[in-house]
Amino acid sequence: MTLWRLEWLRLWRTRRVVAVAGVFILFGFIGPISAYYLPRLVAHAGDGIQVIVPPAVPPDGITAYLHNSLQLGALVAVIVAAASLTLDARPPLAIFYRTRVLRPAQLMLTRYVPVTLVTMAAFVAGTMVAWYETDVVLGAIHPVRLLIGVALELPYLAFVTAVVAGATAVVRGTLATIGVGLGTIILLPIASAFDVVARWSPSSLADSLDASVRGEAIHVYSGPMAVTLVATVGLLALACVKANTREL
Amino acid sequence: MILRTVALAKRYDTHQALRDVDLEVPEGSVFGLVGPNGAGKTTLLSIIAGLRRPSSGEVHLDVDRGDVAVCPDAPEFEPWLTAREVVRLAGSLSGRLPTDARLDALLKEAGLGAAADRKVGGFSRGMTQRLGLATAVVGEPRLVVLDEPCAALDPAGRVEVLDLVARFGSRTTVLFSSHILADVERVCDTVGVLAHGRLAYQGPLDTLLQEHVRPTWRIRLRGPTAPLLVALRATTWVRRAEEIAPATVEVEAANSRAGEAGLAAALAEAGVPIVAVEPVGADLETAFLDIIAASDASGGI
Repeated sequence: MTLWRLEWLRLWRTRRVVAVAGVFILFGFIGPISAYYLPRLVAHAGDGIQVIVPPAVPPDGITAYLHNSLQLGALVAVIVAAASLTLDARPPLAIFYRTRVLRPAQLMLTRYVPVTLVTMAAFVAGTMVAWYETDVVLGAIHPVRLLIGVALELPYLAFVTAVVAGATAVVRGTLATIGVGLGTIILLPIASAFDVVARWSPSSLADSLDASVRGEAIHVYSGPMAVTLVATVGLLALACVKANTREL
Repeated sequence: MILRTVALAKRYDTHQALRDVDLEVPEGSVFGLVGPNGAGKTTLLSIIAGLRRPSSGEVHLDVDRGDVAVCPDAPEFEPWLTAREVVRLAGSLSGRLPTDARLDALLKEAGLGAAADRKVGGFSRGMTQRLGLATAVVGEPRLVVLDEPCAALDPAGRVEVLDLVARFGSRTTVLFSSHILADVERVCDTVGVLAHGRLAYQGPLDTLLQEHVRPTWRIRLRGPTAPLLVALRATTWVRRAEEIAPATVEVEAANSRAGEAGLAAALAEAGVPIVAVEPVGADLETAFLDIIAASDASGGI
């Protein structure tokens, strides 16, 4: 049994793959429908006040999916990633692995890649569901724009799990890692309230799919994309170095 | 020597856990590292296993790091793997993927043949410990490091694990720590005594016991002990003479030669019927307490 197979078994047998995929696919179903019915719901909710909401257009279906799935989906992804990436949370288990590999960084990488790929695959699956639903209830989305948007979102998801990997360099426990990881993921959009940060922040990529399907300019994401790629590699390197040098 | 440490020291902030430890583990031995709680056993084994770094000193292994297997006092495994998968994983990570036949044989030897395909999350403490030993030896390591393998096991579990250690010890070098002296005495041929972070003794177990044999004899009588006690206490070579049980006297001489020369005369003078006279052998506990006391007296803390 290789470490790669072990990590697949970890995701499958602990049902973590179901949790991650379930969240994204669920919002893939709910997002476009909620966008479709939102104007009617708002119209009936007014208590003597008339609220006029413009009819939903096809990109609204993807927007609704994106906003919901990237919040709860990122939360689940952080929890699942932390459960896998905290190599030293349970010392006896850490001893089992650490004394059997040449370098503990090997463990970090073989855990990071599967959990990231599963998160990405879940996001893509959810997007495909949202695309189909949008097409049925709201109208067609340009497939090339959708695919470009998805391609821009995927590095952001890799960054989210890399943040969790980086958090393991600071703390050992799973709960603490979730806290540090989530704190970072939440702080970045808040900091992006400043334009100078937003132009470079990885969290700006979270809106790229929305912008792409609306036909807006996507070259503005080149800065965040570059920072995201560099930060992802940097965080992984930090996690690997710390895994190699940490004492149990 | 398969393992040698030179002036090994480890400091945690203000606490000096190890000081100048020069450990030598002969190849093929079952080496028992004994010491009271907090003596530094786990720290020493962790450094040897490469899990912690020494503050100073060196560890010399006569084998590749991959030929050293480690099992902690309370091993844990992924609860969603079966016992067979855990042992296969351990072998695979060690670079020696076991055949199915070898896996079956190893699990059977560890007493887990019937539980081979059960998830380890439901295993008892004893089963997990035995699984830990199986994972340690599956890669056919040349040195197995076991930290308190019998800690927190019930008597039956201890016997099972000690039997396994003894069996594995016939195939490879085993270094194991324990504060249960009877366990060490049962399976080890070489011992090291760690006290206050210092290696107070190391060498063959037999030599240690011989060095700490006291010149003491146990005499069983048929009749009252009082005449013998009077006769013994009247001599100059007796350090202690007391009735330890009905019709049984224990006498400790100032030294072996004086005891051997004077005991027969004292028995004759007392004129009491004798059932048996036997020397009192030393056990590891006696030796251990002597060493710890000497360490304390020399300001070990």
